[in-house]
Amino acid sequence: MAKPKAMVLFAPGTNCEEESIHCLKLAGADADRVLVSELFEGKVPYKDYQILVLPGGFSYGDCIAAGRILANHMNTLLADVTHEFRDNDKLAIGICNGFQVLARLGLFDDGAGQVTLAQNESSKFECRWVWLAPDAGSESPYTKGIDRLMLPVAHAEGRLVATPEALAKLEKNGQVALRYANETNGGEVGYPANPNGSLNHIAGLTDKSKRIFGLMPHPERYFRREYLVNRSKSGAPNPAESVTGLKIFENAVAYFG
Amino acid sequence: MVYRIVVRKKDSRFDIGGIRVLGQIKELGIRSVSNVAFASVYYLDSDDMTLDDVKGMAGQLLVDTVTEDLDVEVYDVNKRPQAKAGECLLEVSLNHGVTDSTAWQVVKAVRQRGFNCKEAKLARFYTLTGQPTEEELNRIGIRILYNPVIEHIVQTGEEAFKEIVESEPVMEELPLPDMNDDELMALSKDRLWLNLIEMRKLKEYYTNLGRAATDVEIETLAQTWSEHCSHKVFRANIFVDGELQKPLIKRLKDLTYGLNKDWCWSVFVDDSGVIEFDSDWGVCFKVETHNKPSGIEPFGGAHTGIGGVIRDIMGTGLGAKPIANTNVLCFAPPDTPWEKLPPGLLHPKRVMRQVVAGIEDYGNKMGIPTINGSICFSERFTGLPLVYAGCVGIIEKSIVEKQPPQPGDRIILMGGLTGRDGIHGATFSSGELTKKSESVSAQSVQIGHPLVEKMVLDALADIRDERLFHAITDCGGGGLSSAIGEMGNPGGAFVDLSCIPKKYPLPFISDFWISESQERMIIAVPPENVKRVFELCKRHDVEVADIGEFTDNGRLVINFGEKQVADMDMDFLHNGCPKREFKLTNPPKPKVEEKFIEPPTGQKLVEMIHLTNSELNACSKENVARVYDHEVQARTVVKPFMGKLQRNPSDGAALKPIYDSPKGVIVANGINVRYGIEDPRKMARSVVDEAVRQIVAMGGSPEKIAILDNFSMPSPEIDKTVLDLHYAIVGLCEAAQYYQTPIISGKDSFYNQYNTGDGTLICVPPTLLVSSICVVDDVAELVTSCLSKTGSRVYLLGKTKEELEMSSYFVQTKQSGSAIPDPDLELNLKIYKAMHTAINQGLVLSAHDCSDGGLGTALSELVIGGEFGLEIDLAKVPYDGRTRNDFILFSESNGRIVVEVEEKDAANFEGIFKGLPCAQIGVVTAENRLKLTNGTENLVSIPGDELYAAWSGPISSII
Repeated sequence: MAKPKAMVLFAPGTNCEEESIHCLKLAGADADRVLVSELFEGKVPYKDYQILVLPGGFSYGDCIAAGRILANHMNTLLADVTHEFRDNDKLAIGICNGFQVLARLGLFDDGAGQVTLAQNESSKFECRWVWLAPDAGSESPYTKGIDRLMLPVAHAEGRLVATPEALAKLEKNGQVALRYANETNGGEVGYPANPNGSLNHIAGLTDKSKRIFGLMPHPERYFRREYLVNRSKSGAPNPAESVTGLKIFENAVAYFG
Repeated sequence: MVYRIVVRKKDSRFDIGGIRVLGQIKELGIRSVSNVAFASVYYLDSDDMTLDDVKGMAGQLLVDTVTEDLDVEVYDVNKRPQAKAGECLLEVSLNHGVTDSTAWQVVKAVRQRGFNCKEAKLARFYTLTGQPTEEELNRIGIRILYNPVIEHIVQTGEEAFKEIVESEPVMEELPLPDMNDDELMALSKDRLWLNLIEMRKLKEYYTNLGRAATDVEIETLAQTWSEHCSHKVFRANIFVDGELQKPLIKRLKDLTYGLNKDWCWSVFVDDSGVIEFDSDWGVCFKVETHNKPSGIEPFGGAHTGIGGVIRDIMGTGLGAKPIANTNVLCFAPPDTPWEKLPPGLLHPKRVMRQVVAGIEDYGNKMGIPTINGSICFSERFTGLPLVYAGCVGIIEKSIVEKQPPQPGDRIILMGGLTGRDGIHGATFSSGELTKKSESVSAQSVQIGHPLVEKMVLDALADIRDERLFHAITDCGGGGLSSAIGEMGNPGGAFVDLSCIPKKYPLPFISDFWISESQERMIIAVPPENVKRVFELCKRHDVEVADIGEFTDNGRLVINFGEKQVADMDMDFLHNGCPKREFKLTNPPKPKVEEKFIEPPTGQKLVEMIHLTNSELNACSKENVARVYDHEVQARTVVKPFMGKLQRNPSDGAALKPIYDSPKGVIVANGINVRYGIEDPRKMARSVVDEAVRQIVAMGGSPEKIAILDNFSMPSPEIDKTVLDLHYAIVGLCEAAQYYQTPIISGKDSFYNQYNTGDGTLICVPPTLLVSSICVVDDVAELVTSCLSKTGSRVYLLGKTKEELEMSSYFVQTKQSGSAIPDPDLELNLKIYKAMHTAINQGLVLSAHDCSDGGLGTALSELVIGGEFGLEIDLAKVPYDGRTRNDFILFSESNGRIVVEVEEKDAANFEGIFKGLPCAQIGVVTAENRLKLTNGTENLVSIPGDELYAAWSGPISSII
């Protein structure tokens, strides 16, 4: 199997490209940082890439709103790049700011403008670790083999809000790939388990084809066990150590296997 | 045509801006406002867009259709929106000339859609429901909605855009040789902040030259000779009781050079200190203060404080990579009543929120994790806060050493555009704040722009990796005058100011030279590499300009186009400043009266535990730590809060700088804002001990710790300031010498005081921040403060003495008459070495150091983790002093660490500490409670959640 090639899109203000590239390489992909300005110049053979990654950060300083300017580019000057990954059997992952861009591009609701990531209910930026559970019905290629995992979130605008119809569609289509959860099943998922007040505790969505994945938590920040927030020295079993965020990147690579 | 576009929330639940402002209005005690709605306003100047075009564009670019509605109209300056009955409308907009980055992005995005767009401008629009009085409305405006330094309320008839008329910038000639003392001092006041001796020296110099000085020259001299840039106090001759002391700076340097650690790669010579990480990489660390700008405009001051220290790392060697930020903040108590606040001052709660917001905004947008810090409180910070910003970087060994620029190298300025930001910032920071400062020094406030700095960082990394420059430095205090003045010393430099890209027309030629506009770096580039540097800057959208050349004639020559505006001798500029002298006498020590309360028992003791844990210096800062991204870059191993519930406060932070290496770096800090008022020497010894102790508690080797010193003091013209500083440095050097911790970098800040106008000075306490850093072999072996096993033993290392003066407990209960903690350096070092051995042998499950709030708060914090409990016998605590449970619990003696050890390892552990104060004081229990006994007597039993509520309460109501 040839190594899939991943393009990590880098705009002014992007800031999680280093760890994203590291994870993609650990997972067995080739990964390149590609500057938006290089795409503008038409110098990048973007069709050679199988995976598009929109990493976290504050693209263009999040001015107007999170991800707004980069989404504007991807809708106008870079529409060909967007379509390349949307319309072919390729993958696209948007993490945090990248998720905000994908949502603004209308990839989760066919451009209906009915799904968005609003300011957190707490009204604050918040950095903490959360438990996540993949949705059994989602059949997302990204979460295969994951029963439950812990990842850090760090955002101010991650509260998934949708119109009732759009929300029903997301659920019906199996587009909800990840939800905020408690460590074990049962019990109300309140704050801070759901850190931002997302409807239906949604942490990650795919498009209808399941190939395009957006999520607020940062899988690229948990690729080794020592990063875990509740690592214990006593040797007691810790379910949060059994799977790391790397698995999501490995699943993406395995899609092309 | 100017259009006005309003974006408002559909549903008040999403109106976070409105909800936040309403809360703050209530906090002001104003009851006449029942609701606040917030809207974003955009003004757009375009001559080819129709109303429909604007609506279409705004619909796609400016509005979120799920949560927001949109109104677009042609703007009529005389038809401002009218308030309905029972409503007040306020629109806040940036003052003319203040950077507005979002507006510029809007202009670019509109143009990208094929329209012509001249300008855009943003405003915040508030609709207040209710009928506040005019006085209340003013208060709401000034205290919550806007800062007059950079913003104003939009009035009817106000044009959205003002035509900018550009005229040729001017230069002023200053006839120094003809000036008398009064005239010299009039020139210095509020502008140069030089004293008479220094002004006379300038006069003498220009008299010998036989010509008038230019304002560019005088400004350059004032910047270079400012306390901020030249550290006159640290170089001064100081006599104490008639005896000449070694200059302060020499004591610090002699100490570090004397310790002669081969792992110190670069100290005192660069923008940050560099120590060895491994054979290929170094780690660098710098901490800066940004107190006065933060006192005037807390958000902007904190913002640019972070920005500045990050640039110090970017400018270290031939360019390091920033990997972590730290910040230590000192505020007045947030519950200070309004009537106790002298006029002209911002309320401490607002100062705190804005400073935290500034750090959040800048640090997060830079993609640098904020991993460690402290927040301290004292009424003495009512006049101004202290804002210490630190940055850690990594740098390849081969580029650690700085090269001087080569003659012929081009002077390349990259980054932000130059405006009138921060004019006189460096000299201003060498003067005290007064009621007038807000207006006099308004222009001394720099406005930050993290996106630009991020772009500069990324561009610079590419330029560095291609090795395209010889030397680099950042533009900080004093702007280009300091940056180029220092880089070009002693060689020389020629600069043409007319080549500097500007934000808007600047009235004075000197503005170009001394502006402290942010996000700018200077690199010395061989002519053949200039083209490539420009290409790489363009790829990252970074402004770049070639503004001159480094020379070899020992002169600093400045032109504006064809016109020469300065010609100065580098030697006089850097070595001409007269040395200062201080003659000080020790005042007699006042005796403190004993004032103790009855020893509390039963429920009263429970109350005292909560009271001490909720003392502002001891309480949880979790809500602040969470608004900073401490995980970005995927390097943070030990985070500010750890454990199953993420509630255990860590003693320090640990990073893994290189993904493929198991090695790590621990960062911690020691600060105390109370002890210094009483005894600066003991304060300094204590904070060094704390900074070292925290690293040891996490598993760092006491033999591999480097420290940084940052002093914040009042005016050196007050004798006590210099005396306090002298003793603080005595204490710092004693502790650093004993612990063998080299001082790798430092910074001093003076004039941290506020003059209320009626002659009252509010001076900050003599404050020393010691930041510490230590390289460790394997981050996976580090220890945290999370209890981990029922039944394991709990030990207390170190000796508890009756040292409660100025402790959190005494402050809360208004007691006095005990002693300020003074570390037993010899004993503590032995304990730390033994602790390191124990951790290395894998005998330690968890550890937590005792600092503010003493053993009581340390134990509480362990239980607050939530998974386990503690049963502790205070009779087992090795203690010297009057036997009182409250004294044992709340003494703040240094050198103490609470350690959890598994039963099976107890004998080995105790063996290592043979002959040292190390006592088993209790056990870890399954139930989440803190149980205290004294021998057979049960004292208290407090559930973890109750402890958590009291400890986290004070800050969670603010942030």
